[in-house]
Amino acid sequence: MPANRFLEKAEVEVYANTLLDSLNSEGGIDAVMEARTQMEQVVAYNRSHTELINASSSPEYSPEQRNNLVKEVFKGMSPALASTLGVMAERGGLQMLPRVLSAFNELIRSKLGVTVVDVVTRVPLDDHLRELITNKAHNELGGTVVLREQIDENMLGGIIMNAGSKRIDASMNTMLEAARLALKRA
Amino acid sequence: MKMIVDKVLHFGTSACAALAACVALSPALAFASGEESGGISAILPNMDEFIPMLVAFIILWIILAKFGWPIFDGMITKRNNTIRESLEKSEEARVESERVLAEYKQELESAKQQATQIIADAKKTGEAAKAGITEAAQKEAADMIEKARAAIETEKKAAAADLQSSVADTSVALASKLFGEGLSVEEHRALIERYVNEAGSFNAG
Amino acid sequence: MTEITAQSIDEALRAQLDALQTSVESREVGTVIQVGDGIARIDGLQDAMAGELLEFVGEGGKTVYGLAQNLEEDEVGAVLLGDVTVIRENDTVKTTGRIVEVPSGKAMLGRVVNPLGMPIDGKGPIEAEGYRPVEFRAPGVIERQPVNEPVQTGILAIDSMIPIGRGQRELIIGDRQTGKTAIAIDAIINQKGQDMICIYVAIGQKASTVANLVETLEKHGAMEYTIVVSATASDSAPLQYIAPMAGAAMGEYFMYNGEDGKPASKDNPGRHVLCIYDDLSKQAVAYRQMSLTLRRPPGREAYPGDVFYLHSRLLERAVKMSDENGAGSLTALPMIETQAGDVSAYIPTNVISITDGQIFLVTDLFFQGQRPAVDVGISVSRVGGSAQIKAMKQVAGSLRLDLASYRELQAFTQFGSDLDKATQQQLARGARMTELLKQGRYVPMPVEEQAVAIYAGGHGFLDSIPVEDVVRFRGELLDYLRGSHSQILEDLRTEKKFTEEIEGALDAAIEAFKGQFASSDSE
Repeated sequence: MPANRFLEKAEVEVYANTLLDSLNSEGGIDAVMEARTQMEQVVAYNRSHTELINASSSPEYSPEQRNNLVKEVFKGMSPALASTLGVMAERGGLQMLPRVLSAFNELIRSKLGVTVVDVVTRVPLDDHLRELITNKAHNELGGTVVLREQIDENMLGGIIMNAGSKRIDASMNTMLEAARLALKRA
Repeated sequence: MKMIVDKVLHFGTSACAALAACVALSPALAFASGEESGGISAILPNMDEFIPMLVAFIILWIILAKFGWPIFDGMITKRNNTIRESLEKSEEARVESERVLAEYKQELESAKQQATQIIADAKKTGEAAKAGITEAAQKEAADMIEKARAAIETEKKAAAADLQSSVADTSVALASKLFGEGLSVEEHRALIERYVNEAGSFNAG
Repeated sequence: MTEITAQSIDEALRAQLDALQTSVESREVGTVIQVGDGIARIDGLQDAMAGELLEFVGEGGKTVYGLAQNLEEDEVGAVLLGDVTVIRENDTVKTTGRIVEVPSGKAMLGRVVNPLGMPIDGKGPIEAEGYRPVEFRAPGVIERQPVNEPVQTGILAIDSMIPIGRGQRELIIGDRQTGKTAIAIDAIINQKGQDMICIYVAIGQKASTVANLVETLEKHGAMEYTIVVSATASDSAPLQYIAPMAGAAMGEYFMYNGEDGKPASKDNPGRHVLCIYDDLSKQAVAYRQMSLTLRRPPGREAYPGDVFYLHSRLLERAVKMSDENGAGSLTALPMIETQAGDVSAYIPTNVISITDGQIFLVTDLFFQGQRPAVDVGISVSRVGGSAQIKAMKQVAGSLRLDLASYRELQAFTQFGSDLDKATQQQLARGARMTELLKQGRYVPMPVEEQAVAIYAGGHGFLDSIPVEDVVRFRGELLDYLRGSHSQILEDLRTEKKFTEEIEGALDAAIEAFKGQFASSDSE
């Protein structure tokens, strides 16, 4: 494992670049989006569960075993992602995944010129709303806007929009909470 | 010492008496002889008697003047002095006793004054203490009332705030229920549209 | 009077609703990578500021605040200020764009609050007049002026020999159980009617101790002008860490603003504040814990390298403002607990070097019955002398000399028995002077009475009083003067120095009192 943080950074870049290129050439922007979602899930899972990271960096297994293990675990995912993860595990660098993800996001933005906006709502969006949000994001952030919609039944209403690390939280839950706090203030 | 002086004095006195008797005797003898011859001669001294008498007198006088008088004079002076001294002493004693009396009187007076002063001081201190205690007590009482009032006020405020917050909680809970279940898909979409239009820029903040 | 009616509550709610902002701004969000030991590592938040307040949204929408501490390339290390248990991995974190602030204002007086300014005394919410940042840059050279007014602690030994000026930083240092807090409490109680606002910051103490203290202050009517900031031992390390700074921030509000809440200026004088940090060794320990869990490299005694800066930054905020800036002041009385009298440990040496002097409390003296157990030989005040009133200066000089020669002789004469008359005289005087400095708790003395007491000792009026009667003599003498010769004290108060008339009158009065004083051995 490279100790130098510049080396590490370069390695992360290589993973992210390769992954993006292969995904983009294979299935275009949709494949990229799908892999991104999957990667996010893996990262979130790994944060609260350390077994996979531990196993993939354990010296008790040979690099091939680690590669196979990870590939087996992520069999259902996009093949490019699974093989990238396998290579990372082989080289004992699976814990770099969050950084690969952020580099990947950065590359989507810079290489493909795509702005990804994650939208969470209670009810599905209609085309009018899609256009409205796309225009807003395009005007403010530029690039080709790709909306990724997500339905959350637990939400009371309203909308949460995420672009990069920026979030506009216009959900009913947040607003009601704010109202409750404001009302409590004598 | 005093006895010796007295004796000397006594002796001096008797010597004087003897001398005076001697002198007085001689003219009496001369007068008697003169009466016998008659005339003026009666008052004239008889030279035979007169000369030895004179000589004796002069000798006596000289002796007395030479030795007796100074003793006598010394005795007188001594006596004078003694008398004066004792007089002075008694005078002094009198003055002293008067002074002491005055002093005693004065001390008595000042003691009386001091006593009055101490009583007055004590009274004053007592008064001051009393006033202080009363004032402190009153202030404390006022403070306590004020504190109690403030406590009641804060309690009331707390109660009001409590009530308000529970009202807020209830109304928000109610609103949540209404929003979640009560809105149609179209209403939800309208709400989203409004929110998206009202929302701030992604670039801000 | 507050009326609790449906209408009043309705009005309050309506007012709040009107003020409610419905439009939503975009905010930067990150994700919690790891949480534990009261700290959280956060992914994202590229734009977070050092020391920024972060909002963690935990289980069930509960909000917990945190403090951004370590800003690294692709993560942020933050300490949590609230309930740690509701935060989990993958929870979202928002930046707030604010540095940690505490509410401040007159409504805080008489209240017990936590380091975030929230009331913990059950007396309802506090209406803040303003907010002040917990971390605030101390005023520069131009905005200051030298210390020139005294802070009267009401403690004879301190006011006479280790005087404290307004705007000074005077360390109170000693082992546990030597009466450090007692000095602070007496000092607070003595500020009654002195136009001084007191802030007592309790760091890492038992909650029961703090409750006792509040009750004591209340009993002596001292809570009216006091704010108690309490981060008890059960509070998290970050809360203990910011507590002194929060206290300073609350005090700064009064110093930088006049009576009317507007910024202090030449015509709008700032207030005077006395800040007591009890104690900074606990804060240093909390900071050490925080730093170690944040994986900052440990230094001497495992404290992080910037623990000196932590304390110097805090104590530098003690200031006497120039007249143009309202001439307000913030006096700091930090405390340090030593272990077995070891002042050469890391934190004590640091704080000693930062402060303008120190009051040493010594266990031996404490158990000898010399209370307050101030070791006047090694206690100093580097700037307070210029703030002392003249009367005190006149008498305190001789007191210091008497005590110094007494100590010297005492050590010297332990071996010999035959002493000449002068030596015996000096020893007797010293013993009485030492005795004179004894003082009970919660009985602060006005400065003119202190001056009179020392005057009586220094001019030999006590030499014929048995040592064990000295304290009683002092008390009764002052009672007597207050009762029968209050004019002398009054004159001293107004003149602020011993004139020849005052000295004459005082000599006579003390002599008169001595005549009626019944010493214990004469009966």
